Amino acid sequence: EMMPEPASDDYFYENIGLYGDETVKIVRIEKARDIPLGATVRNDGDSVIISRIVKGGAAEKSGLLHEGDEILQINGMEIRGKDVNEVFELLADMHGNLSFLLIPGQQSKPPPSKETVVHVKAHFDYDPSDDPYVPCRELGLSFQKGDILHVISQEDPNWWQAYRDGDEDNQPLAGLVPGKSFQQQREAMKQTIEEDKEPEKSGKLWCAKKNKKKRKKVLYNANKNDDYDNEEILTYEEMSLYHQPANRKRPIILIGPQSCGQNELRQRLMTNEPERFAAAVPHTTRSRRENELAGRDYHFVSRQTFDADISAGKFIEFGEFEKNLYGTSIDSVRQVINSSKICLLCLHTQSLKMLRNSDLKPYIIFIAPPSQERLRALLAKEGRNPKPEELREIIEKAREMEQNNGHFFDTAIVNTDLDKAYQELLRLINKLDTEPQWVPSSWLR
Amino acid sequence: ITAVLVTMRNKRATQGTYSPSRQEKDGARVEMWNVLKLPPTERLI
Repeated sequence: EMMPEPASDDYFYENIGLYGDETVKIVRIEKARDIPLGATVRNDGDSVIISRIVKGGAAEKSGLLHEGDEILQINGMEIRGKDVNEVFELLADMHGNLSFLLIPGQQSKPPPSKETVVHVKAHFDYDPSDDPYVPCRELGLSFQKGDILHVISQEDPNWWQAYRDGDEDNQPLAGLVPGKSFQQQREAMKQTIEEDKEPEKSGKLWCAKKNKKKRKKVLYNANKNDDYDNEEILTYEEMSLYHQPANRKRPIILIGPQSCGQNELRQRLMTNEPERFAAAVPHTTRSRRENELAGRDYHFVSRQTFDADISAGKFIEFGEFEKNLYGTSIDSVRQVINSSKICLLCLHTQSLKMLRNSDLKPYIIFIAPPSQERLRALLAKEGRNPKPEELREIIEKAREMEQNNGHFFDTAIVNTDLDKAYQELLRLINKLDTEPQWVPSSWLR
Repeated sequence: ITAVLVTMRNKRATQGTYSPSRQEKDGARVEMWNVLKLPPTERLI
């Protein structure tokens, strides 16, 4: 791979003697103006060492620089003894053909295995400018909960190299994101430290009340959202693209606090396009009324059958109303799927875990309330006149739902105006026919 | 009130933020984290 040496490299040969018995190597890489080569350097004593080769840069493509190589000179300029910050400044101003005089690193690496990209959904927000542990601040990749990341290298288990979905074209170099176990350990540590801080707070008289409030909140989480596991530290979830088959439509699940329009939106879809949308037929222990048809209005079953089905985990959700049990079974959703219609369900957050662990491949949409003022206007249209505290409660409830279950949602619609929300909902549902969507990889295995 | 304050202060003396025994119980990993140094600075070239 080495070309015959042009005259400009003569100085290298003159200088090689300076480095005694060390085996030195000369490599040449073309550097474009203002575009980094895509390698990082660190100091080790006096030395400047190549620390990391970043995917997508000239350094990686050339295959000539390796992690652990020491840079002695670049274009005849002495590098050994320089601070990495100086090296950074120096290289930022250089372009064209760069000749590196290197002491090759000792570490012998296995030949590069075939690149496998892992796609993950981030379940936390990350801001590298706020992270003292990120090894190279220029390379930190910020992302938000719900973003899809294409992880292209996990060679360093603590710092993965990744692109954010949609960024690949304008961002040739990969960025650094915390590795999964690194992030888990860090969060676990943070939680321990926060717990440890609590007793100190109680030392102050006025904090006794505060502590009580906090305890109450934890209790709330534990009871009302029993599906929400407080111990679980959410990091990344592996995802794959899934294209909805024409004859097997994904069920559409609407989630949100009461009074935010999910039932109205569902009803509107069913009324406007009855040939496309259908509801799953629920089960009930109530006796059939005269005008009702078994299998159309409800599946009428005995209490014993219902209880047995509960134990067998056949229900997505169920509840009691006027001493009778009602519930939606997985099978009744599957029946709608098999009929090539789109199953519409409004569910509680408690059902989400069960639903995600089924084979129904749901598409989950969060219907969120707008600001308090807008929500008041929205409800006024329905002839309702809620008190300010009721409005605040709805908004607080929505915030809590998002906090505890946001990682289950595929997307969210803020219902500021019912007509607009309906159009947006329809657009999202139609998109499933034409565009593949990211789903947990476990669904496709 | 003075008595309460004194008890509080005593309590506080034994319940500071730094409680290695407790962290030890929580697992070795946490211990390691507390002594983990920042990685050497890397710069992009």
